[in-house]
Amino acid sequence: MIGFFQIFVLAFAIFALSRVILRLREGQISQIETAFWFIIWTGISSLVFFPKPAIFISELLGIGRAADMMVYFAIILLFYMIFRIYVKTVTMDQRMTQLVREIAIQKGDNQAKKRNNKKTNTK
Amino acid sequence: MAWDNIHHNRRIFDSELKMEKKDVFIIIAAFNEELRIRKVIQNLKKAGYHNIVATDDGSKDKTYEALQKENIYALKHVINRGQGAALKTGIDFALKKGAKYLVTFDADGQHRVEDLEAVIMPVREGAVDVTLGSRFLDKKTKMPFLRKLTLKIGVLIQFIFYGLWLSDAHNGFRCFSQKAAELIDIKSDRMEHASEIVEQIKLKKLKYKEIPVTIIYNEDTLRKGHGGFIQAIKVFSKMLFRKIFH
Repeated sequence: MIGFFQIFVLAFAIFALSRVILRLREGQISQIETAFWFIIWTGISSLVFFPKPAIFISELLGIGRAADMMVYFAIILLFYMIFRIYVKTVTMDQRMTQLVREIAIQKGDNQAKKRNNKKTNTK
Repeated sequence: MAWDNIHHNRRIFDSELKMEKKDVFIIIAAFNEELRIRKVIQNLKKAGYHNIVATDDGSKDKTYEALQKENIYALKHVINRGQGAALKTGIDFALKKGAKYLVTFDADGQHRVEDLEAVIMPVREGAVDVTLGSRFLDKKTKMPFLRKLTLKIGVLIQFIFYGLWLSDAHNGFRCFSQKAAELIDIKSDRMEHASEIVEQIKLKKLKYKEIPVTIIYNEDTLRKGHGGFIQAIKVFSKMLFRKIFH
């Protein structure tokens, strides 16, 4: 039976996929990342309409309910993504520092050379 | 004739001292020190240290303009990156200029110029690669009890993490030989760089020595006080994180 929850999840999945396609068109995400999100959202929609596979897997894994299994997998996936985002943030931070430092050294070098040239010209 | 010899020898000694000071680069990281930095630099120059590399770490005031008024190497971070990053910028610049001895010196007047020779001497003589200033080797530095306790806890944590027993956990007054400055790679941007330097001394098997220095505290510097206990917790978390994940 199709209920409100299934319709809501399907509508949200379609909306999410439309954002993914937009980002792909703008070049902000790669084709592999698009495929990843496609699998996630179609997977979630499918399980909501056809829960039997999820129930089968949850029984196989010894987890009581399919919904609990979905939550556990979602948490694991979220933690992994947070870790990836953290690593990217740290790397970006380090690169920003490197850039700021190199600009400072280059400018300092140029100013020192200008000062030396002024001194030489004055002599 | 004897007096002539004394004056002649004195002139040789003075010019040798000047030559030795030419090899010394003073590295300063400055953040919002518009009011104090010029006095610090002028005191260093009066003592004969003219190779000064000061990095303005994206200050919100006119620190950089104040640096430019002194005849020194004035560098500027376009955005604030932290004391560790600013010191590394200064150190890298000084190494490019051929520095043989590099001294990190605070921008806020907490360090005394009179302590410079004592900090530089063991490195210049080749006895050690690094000297680390310590405010606890003599009783001249007066500080609040909580600050002292925090620093002493820091000493214990540093020993547990890096196996180096120092008397002062976080003293910015240091001297590096050229070799040590090239080997020590500071990756931390903020206050945890001080612990990273200790870690690198241990990892790179550098010879080090602690030298008594006097830190001059006043109301401003105590208030600024590296954020006190909260800052210490932040530094500790970053040390722990580095130990586990790096």
